[in-house]
Amino acid sequence: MSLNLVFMLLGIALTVLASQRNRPRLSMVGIGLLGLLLLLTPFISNNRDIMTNVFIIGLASVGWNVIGGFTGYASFGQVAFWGLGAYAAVVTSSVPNAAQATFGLPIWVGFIMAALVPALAALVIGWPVLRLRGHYFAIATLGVAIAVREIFKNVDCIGNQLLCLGGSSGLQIQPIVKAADREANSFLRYFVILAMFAGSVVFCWYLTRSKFGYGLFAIRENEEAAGVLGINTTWFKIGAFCLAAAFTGLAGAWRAMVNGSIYPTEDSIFDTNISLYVIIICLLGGVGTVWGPFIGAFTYSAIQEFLGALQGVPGFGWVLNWTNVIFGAIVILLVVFLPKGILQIVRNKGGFTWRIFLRNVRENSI
Amino acid sequence: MNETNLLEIRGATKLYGGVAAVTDISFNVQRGEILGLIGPNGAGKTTLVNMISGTAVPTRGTIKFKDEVLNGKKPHIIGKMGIARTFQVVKPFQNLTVLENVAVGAMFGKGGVKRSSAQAFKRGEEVLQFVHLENYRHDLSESLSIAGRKRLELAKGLAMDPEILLLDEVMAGLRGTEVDEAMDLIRAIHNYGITLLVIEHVMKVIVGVCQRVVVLDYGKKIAEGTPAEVTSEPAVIQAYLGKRYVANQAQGLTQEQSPLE
Repeated sequence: MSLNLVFMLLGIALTVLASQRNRPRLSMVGIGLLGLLLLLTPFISNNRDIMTNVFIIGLASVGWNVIGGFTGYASFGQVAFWGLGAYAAVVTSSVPNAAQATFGLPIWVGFIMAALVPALAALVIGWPVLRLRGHYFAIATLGVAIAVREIFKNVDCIGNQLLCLGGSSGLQIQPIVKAADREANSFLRYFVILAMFAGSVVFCWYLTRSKFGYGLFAIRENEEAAGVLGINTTWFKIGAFCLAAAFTGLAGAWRAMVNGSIYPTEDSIFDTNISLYVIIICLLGGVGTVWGPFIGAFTYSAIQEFLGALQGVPGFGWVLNWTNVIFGAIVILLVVFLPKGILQIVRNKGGFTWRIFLRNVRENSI
Repeated sequence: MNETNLLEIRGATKLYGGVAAVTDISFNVQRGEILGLIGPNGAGKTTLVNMISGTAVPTRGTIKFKDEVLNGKKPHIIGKMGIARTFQVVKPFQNLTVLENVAVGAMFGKGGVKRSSAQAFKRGEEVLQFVHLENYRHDLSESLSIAGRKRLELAKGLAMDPEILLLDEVMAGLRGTEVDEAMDLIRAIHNYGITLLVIEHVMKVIVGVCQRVVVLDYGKKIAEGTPAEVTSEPAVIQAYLGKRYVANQAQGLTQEQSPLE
């Protein structure tokens, strides 16, 4: 069993501890141990980039959780913001050369743009699209994601070489540190991404206690009643969509930094699966909960890691071609039996019994 | 500004397609009164409340609150101005606790601008005490009984610190003793200085708490006056109360049921 899988499983267990809202002492112990685990991981792990990827997709899921979980608007197009964030960071921060006219500004400016540009895009897109509800909103966001990808494919330069996106040939990221510093770079990256991911969870914790957060919950529960109670539903929804875009955009920028190049294609930064992964992660952990994306990101990665490791076991080579099928089956079982995610098991008042699963099936069937 | 009239409805008309739900209705709600609004099902009572609270826009006519025209204003603006309402089909925030439900009203209503989230929860506790739901405050609102949910609707509206509260059939589905409790609650809210517009089928409530009554039928106003005046009006008896109600009243029988049942 790989060491990273152990870290992920420990991560799930400790995050579940940390999420015990009604037992503050247990929660503090959980947060403390989780912090310790995550600080030690890069020094012990043989492949810390795998753990870095957990945090990147987790950060993107935190974004989806704000619009899909807190506000009840299931976006199926988060990859649009993921890609926009990646392009914003690369265009801003990558060192310009003969092949590409990027701006070469400091990397932190790039990350500010990676949050800001998707948020602005969400403002413009959200204005019309957030008037739709349910399936129609989902389909519209799906369309937005496809449209954004096609725009990046076809637009090379805007305004006489002022802003160049590279069209279908994409953009390369000039290495910020020399090859010799790659080891240090990977450490630094691990901790900065971890800090952003943890920061986003702390932000959501604060959000769920703020007036803005309660406004979002009210919209999710009943939009008409929320409006009558004095909530400006239009702006609250747009605000949530912008926040979601900003978090997902930041995550996309990190993916670009790790990959070293971006192309406006489905197998690069506009991978449609990203839109689904962020939803699956929130479903795994618990939609609309503060810790859900954290638990979900660990669980999702642990399943992937486990299936990966299984392929190496003699007699299990066939798993390679069946990974997605098995993963899909797990997601179906989860939605049927645990629609509120893993957190539902521990949040259940009567403690854990197998009846939870049956009750969910009964309650959710029409 | 007209000191006595809190709400002025002038020629309000609402067409859905070609069908008129409400036609040319005019009346005032005076500051500090309890005004009853009665009429058979489909008479346009809820449509009228929808137009006042901004969830429906009048096709013609104007609705003024403290001399300010409400037509075309969004529900959340109207809510912040000091108009709160309940829904006939209750709309609790099911996955939030009872206290959270009420706190949301306290956060975003007329008094909400100055309140922090914590202060809104404190206000929510007060309101729950007032409507006697304090023992359920940490329960999910979906676990409440019908009577409880009706009370929660009232509490959410009250927490907004409104000047006028529009009650859309908060008694429907309640049992005898529950109706009495709810009537006491309405009087207590009124003593608090809040103007009330009460839609109700239970005539005992209308006669018991309202100072004036407006009667609608087929989207038109057919009578307006004190409960005694209105219940002796032939048009009202014909359209809504029925002859049995009048006969029972004459014999001194208490009419517990609504005229329609």
